[in-house]
Amino acid sequence: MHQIELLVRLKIPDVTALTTINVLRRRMGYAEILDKLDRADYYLFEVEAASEEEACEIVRKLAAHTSLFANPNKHVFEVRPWRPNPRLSQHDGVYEVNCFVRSLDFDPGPGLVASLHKIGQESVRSLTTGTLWTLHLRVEDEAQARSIADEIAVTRSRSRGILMNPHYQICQVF
Amino acid sequence: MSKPHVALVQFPGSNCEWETKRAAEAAGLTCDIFRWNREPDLLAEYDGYIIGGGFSYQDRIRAGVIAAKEPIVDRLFSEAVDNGKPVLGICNGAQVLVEAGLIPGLRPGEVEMALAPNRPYPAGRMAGFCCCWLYVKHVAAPGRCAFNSNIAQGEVIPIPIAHGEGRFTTRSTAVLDRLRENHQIIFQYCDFRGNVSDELEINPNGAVENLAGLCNPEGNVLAMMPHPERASFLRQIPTDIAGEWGQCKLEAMGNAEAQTQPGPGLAVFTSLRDGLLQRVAALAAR
Repeated sequence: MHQIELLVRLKIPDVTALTTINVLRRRMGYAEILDKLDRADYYLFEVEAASEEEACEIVRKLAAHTSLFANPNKHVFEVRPWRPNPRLSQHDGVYEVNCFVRSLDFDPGPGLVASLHKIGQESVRSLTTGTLWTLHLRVEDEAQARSIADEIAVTRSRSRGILMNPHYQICQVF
Repeated sequence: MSKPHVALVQFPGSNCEWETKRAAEAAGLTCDIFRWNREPDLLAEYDGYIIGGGFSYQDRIRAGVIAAKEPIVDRLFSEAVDNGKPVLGICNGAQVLVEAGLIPGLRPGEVEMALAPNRPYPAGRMAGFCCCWLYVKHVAAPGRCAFNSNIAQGEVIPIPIAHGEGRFTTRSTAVLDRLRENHQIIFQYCDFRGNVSDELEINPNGAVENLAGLCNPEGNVLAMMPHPERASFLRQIPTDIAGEWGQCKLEAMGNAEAQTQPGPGLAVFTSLRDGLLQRVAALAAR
């Protein structure tokens, strides 16, 4: 079994990401810390295939041809094998932190898998979906990057957190 | 005594401001549409506030959260919490109040609940946007909040909803216990006889405890997902509504004058008017 990530982004500038970075920088005090913010629709597939390359190819074809994940008129997509990454990537003092936000009580994954099975794509065993936010944080170290990402992600009060509401969503920081 | 003066806060994406203003004025209030980018301190001149329905900031991230971070909401927060002025949030306004920590307001400023996407139905598929007439039961004692003094306890009100993210929910059972203990639950979804149950037709968004309207502990802030301004005149009531209001509508058919009579939602605004008149009189008497 291979775990494959599919990230779907808009071709045009993502106004949700732009609005969010604007609020974080202008209203919530992250102007000096938050360099950049990206957003993508995120799908994590579990695919039965002979090799990782084959699994990636299956997901690539699903993204390109099924209309379930991406619309070629407005989306671009990226397929990559999922790798456990215990360390955050860092370039020139800027840490890249992913916040994967998904619903606690509604997972469209099983419905999508059932649809894929109906069209003969039975190699897909499971699918987890949500929104992937990528924060580019100019901070001292990795621990601080994780801590600030959590602070930005989880809405605890009107002045703290924005990306998810913990009463119906969960967030993984990695 | 002059009419109480309320500000109806308009965000980019609000779309119910004019009908809400019309309902507020029909109830005897004066109402200014107040744009989000005006000087927030000007809000101090008003006796009360309404945040109407719509899609502020296009519901980016989730409904209400961007607007909740605006300086104008900081000012509303302070007028509500520090000065006790009334704030009514309708639909998107309710979402803003929840994300701003004004509702349920057990610890003001803390986000203790969510207005989550409507319940998945059928299982595994999103219900999406829900736009329909339904019934809410007024379960609180009249006067529990600034917006219910003119509604009898137990009264069943036909009213429309129109939202994709209207499911009151919380991960904290303690919060729900406190809401019950404090009698903060003002409206619950019900059938036309007033039976509160979790069937899809009765509680289409799947709100916990059938919550449709909640006030803060002090009672000066109310968040409600249904639209009282769309049920403020008899002409707005559909002819197929069961119960007393449906009968009134049928009797008014063909009579233009009768169609302008108040509908069930207007009582939310007349309650606000009466409360504000009392508040202004009390302040003047000091």
